[in-house]
Amino acid sequence: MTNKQMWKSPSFYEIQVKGTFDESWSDWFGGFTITREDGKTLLAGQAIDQAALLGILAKINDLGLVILTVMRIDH
Amino acid sequence: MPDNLLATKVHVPPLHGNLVSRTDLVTRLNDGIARGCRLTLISAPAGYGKSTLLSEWQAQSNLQVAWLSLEKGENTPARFWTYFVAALNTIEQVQQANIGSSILQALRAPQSGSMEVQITELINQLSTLNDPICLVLDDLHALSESQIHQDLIFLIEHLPQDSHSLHLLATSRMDPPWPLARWRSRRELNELRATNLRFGYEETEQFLQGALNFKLSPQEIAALQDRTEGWIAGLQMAAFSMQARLNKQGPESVSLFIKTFSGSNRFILDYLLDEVFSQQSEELRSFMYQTSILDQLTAPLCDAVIDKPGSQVYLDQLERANLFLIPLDEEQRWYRYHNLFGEFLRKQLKQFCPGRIPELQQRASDWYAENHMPSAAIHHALAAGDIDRVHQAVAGNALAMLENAELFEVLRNFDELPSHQVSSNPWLCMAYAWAKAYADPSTGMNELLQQAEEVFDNVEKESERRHLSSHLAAIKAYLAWMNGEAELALEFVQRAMENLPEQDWAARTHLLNIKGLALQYRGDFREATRSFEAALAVGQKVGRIHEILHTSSNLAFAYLLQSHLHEAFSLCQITVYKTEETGQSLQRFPVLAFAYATKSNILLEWNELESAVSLARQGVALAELWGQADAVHFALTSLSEALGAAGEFEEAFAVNQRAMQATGSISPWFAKISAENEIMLLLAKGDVLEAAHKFSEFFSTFSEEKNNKQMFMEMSLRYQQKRYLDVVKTLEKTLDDLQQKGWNLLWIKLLPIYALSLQALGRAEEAQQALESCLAAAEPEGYVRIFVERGAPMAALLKSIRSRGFKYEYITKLLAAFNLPNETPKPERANPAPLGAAGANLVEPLSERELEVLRLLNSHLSVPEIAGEMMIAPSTLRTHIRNIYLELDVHGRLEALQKARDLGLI
Repeated sequence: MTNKQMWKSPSFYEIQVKGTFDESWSDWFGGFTITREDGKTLLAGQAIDQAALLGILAKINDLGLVILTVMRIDH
Repeated sequence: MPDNLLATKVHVPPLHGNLVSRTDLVTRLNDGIARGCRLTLISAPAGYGKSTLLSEWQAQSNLQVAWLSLEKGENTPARFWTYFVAALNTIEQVQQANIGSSILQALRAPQSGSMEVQITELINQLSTLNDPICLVLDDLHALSESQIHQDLIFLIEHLPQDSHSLHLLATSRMDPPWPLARWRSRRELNELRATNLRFGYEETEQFLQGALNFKLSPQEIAALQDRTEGWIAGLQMAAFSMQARLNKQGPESVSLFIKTFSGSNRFILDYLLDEVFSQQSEELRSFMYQTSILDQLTAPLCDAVIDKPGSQVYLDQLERANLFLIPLDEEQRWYRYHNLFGEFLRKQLKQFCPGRIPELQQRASDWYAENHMPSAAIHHALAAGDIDRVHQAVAGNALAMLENAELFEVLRNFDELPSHQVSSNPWLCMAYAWAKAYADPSTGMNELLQQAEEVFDNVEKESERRHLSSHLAAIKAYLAWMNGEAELALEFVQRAMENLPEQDWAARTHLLNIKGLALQYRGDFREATRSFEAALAVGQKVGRIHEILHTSSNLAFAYLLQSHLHEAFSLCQITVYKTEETGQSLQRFPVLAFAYATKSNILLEWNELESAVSLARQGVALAELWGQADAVHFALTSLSEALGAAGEFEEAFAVNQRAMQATGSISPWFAKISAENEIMLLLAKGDVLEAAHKFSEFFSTFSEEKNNKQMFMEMSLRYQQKRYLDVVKTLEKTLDDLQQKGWNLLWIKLLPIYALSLQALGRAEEAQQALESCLAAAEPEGYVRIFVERGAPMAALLKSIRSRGFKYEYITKLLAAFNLPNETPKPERANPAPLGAAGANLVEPLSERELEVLRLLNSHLSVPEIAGEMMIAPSTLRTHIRNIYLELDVHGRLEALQKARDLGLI
């Protein structure tokens, strides 16, 4: 994937945060799916662009959650 | 939305329920300011007590603090800077210095890019303040627009560091995109972050002791501090839950809570919100769900949304818990949910009863519509996905919406609607057209009207079609009036009236007002007055405050034109009182701008210059907030006139320029008024040559048609050009006529010029007669300025009239206002001359320019050569020469030079 395409097309992201919470919060995080694993929560989903991703990160920040990792998944 | 949205934003949030005083942090804030840091940044996630800390600091500070609470809606440069200036203006010394007006001006211009020039001016203005000021930008993270950030960086980097004119304090949930590292390294940044804000053990203990009516063990306190990591909102929610548990289930349940809470690794907010929420009664929970759709809450609105009475009780309960609600006004009538909590509630609502949301939104929309807040009504109708309701919300309120709202906000609302929705809903179309006609008619207006016409033609119901077409005619009437086409406006008014249904009172008063304005423009002041009076009667009959205010202001101005100053003034006063009686902020009634400006005009005639300036400033502030072009222009012009009278020429010209730029393109008529005002300012300043130049330009730009104001302008110019014979010849013919037509203000303002011209021509007897009839009419209305502005020659003429015993007291009062440099309390006529200056026994001394001409005439140069020497047109030079001859009472060059030598002028 060229650099250009990378920024143009929607991408999948995984964001790992400290603490667990349930599926009902999914709406808050742009419809990202929520999976819990030993004291951490994995948010995974498609962000249509960087701005959308930053919006989700800002939401996480608003909620006082601690971000552990952010990763882009190439398919 | 609260009655006064603006005031809420710029209002320092009251400090309440603060259990832990943070003296150390307050000291750190003060130290940073004292050190001369450019910026204080408090950066931490929600719930760390950022705003509370600043409230506490503000309450103890001796500094003058302005406050701006930012929300997503301010995320355009125009709105941000409007609120920025409004916030600064809550500080009295800023308001007095009229700081920030150039920013507001720049925002009205269509091309808005960087604000650097205006910000530089703002910084310069701020540096003239006596005392340093602080501005809090609360919730800075709400701003994402990069242009705003760039402008803010520019502002911060250019603040003079040594004079500390302005110190900015910002709170944000994330670091703004600013060069923080640079400022940090230069020690220009004072920073508080989550680490500094979180509660330590002692603060946690102090907090819990204050919040709970029972004691916890040190271990328990430590466990809570540890689990929340000193996060204040977390501790608040934990305390709330523990208290509720204790009350219901006894002390064991508290210990159990602490144990499970500290053992859980569930996301803390999720845990606590659930916990807190589940502690509420079923009833209260249901109330919170349903009202979570509201951005702002007040009891009557909540009653409507939950569809039963009693909301006040719930709101009180929630407010006491001090956890969920944030009061938005001091009277505590409006609240909003705490952000996080509101989101949580909306999540719950969506999760458990998504089907109810449209119904709740519709009820909110209906309430707002009934309470004449159409913008919010539209907002909720849209959220309900109910376009018919959007349509309804607008139909009954198109006009009210325009008179109590920020027009650009209204336009923005419309611009956000999909265009097919606007065009498929005739009343939306209509409301849009009205808003555009009011605020921004210079572009796309015709297309919009055409589109509206097509939409209306397809309306099935005959009566509705007629109703719509009558509104359309009303808009056209308004636009025609603005364009200076009085006859056309009257025609449209007539057409609109024919189709207007009986019950549309708002439109009826509106039309009668437009009719009055058009008649006034045409010069039918008496007819205009009747039309305004009829409008006022309609407005009063239905008790619609906006219509009453608008009409009263128009009527007051009509009285002023007919020289009924006292009547006009008291009508303006009543208008303001009426607004105050509503108990709402004056800013809800921007139409008052007209009343303020008219009052300023009257005070000007009474020579109360300071008040005139200050009222005009208030008028300008309201008008600019409103954005209605006519009001903006009228208020700015009034301010410029008042400033000119007060001798503040530089600002007067600048304000006039602003008026011209802001609205000149909208209407040639407005452009004409601004051009006239400029000429009047030049004359007041004594720059006759430039005034004459602009005057000839004026008539090449605008049509030859002369209205009453132009007549005054022309006569003032001719008088100052010393073309006394021209003045006398023109006025001999017209003065009586003016009085008959009821143009009394003009008549009374022309008489002093007429009298002085007669005097200058040596027709002393007639001069006295003219001035006596002026005085007789002027005394009851208290005119001062028309005499005072004419200076020494007028003082002399007044004295000679007084010496005959005519109007002794009035003239004595007038003379006291003259403030003449050589004024001595000696009896009149005792020592009339010589004053020592050359040419003192001329009626008016020659100007510098005329003296220069005179000196050049005393050479071998021909007239064209002199003109070349002076770099002026030969025709202009001839005007000068004619004036000099007239002044010296001579008929040729040689005679003039002889006389000038005799008088010691050359």
